[in-house]
Amino acid sequence: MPYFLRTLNNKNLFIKEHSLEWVADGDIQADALKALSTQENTLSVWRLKDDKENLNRLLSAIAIGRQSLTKIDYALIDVDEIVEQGFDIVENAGKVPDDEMNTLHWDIINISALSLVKLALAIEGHATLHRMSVPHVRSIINESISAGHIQESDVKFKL
Amino acid sequence: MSSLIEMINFVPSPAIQLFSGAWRKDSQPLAELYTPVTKPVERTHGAIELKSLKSDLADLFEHAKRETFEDGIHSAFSIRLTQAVMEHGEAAINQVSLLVESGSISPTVLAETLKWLGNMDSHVAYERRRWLLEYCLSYPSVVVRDGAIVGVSYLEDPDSIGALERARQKEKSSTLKADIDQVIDDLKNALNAHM
Repeated sequence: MPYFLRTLNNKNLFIKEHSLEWVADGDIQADALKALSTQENTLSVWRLKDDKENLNRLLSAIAIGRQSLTKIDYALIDVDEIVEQGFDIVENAGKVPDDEMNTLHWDIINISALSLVKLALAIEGHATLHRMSVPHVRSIINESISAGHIQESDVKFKL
Repeated sequence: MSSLIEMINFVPSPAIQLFSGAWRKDSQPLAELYTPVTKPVERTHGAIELKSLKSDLADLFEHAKRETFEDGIHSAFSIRLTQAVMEHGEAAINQVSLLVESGSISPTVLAETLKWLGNMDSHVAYERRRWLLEYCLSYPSVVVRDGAIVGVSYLEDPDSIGALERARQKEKSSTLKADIDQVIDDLKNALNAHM
């Protein structure tokens, strides 16, 4: 079962336990959509194999694209779940400083306002939500540098 | 301030306790607490300047409601917030604390504030920032508590373990409990690594 990985600013907006009183069942707070900000009606995701073999390498490449060392919140959702819900997906090279990881990048395209809500609900209902803390992010960045996947000069912040 | 509080039998709010130093957990002498080697010199602020600073910060928080935030990426808000702290030091954190107490900062903006206060690579107003972050671990809004957990985690300071453990005991959300556990584990691992 391959997965799509999507980074989120705050995973906890997608947790039912945190749902606000006035949000009806089957609905989601609008702020969660901010974590799914589209560009040209497209949403960026990363495809991982069943064994999530490249998870740490991918997250380290994403982390060093940031301006400071921070935790990473992300959702993992079964690719079939996205396909079965009728979303259009296309392979589209990513822009992280690890060429091999760039081949894992996909776009969910032709996203309308309604389908964005559907996607948010799919994440709330079917994705697993994760947070990688700063010490772990630091550790995987160092591992990627040691393995030669990324260059130390690509890191824009103090590790 | 403490004698005045006794006279009128008034229980000070946590933000006021911050000003009086009553938040300290032990009887460590004040001078010792406030003079770490790396502590930058704080300049004093007059009443008019403080009022202006509070007003500027309130404006900043109001405008930030219209911004979208992304982890690890500076926003107009984060740049101005960290500039204010660098320029005004503890006075800025004191004014932010008063705005937090008054409930006038939206939960999303306050959560973002806490993340950046934790992620400043500076000694400026460090103890005050840490106090505010730990105070917000028990804030009513779950969004703010989450921001406080993240902000405290960014400090990577084992001195926050006690506050995190107390927050965990009171925390109702199982998700946030797990997030707190992760931060405590990270801090304890860092402590063990240094032994």
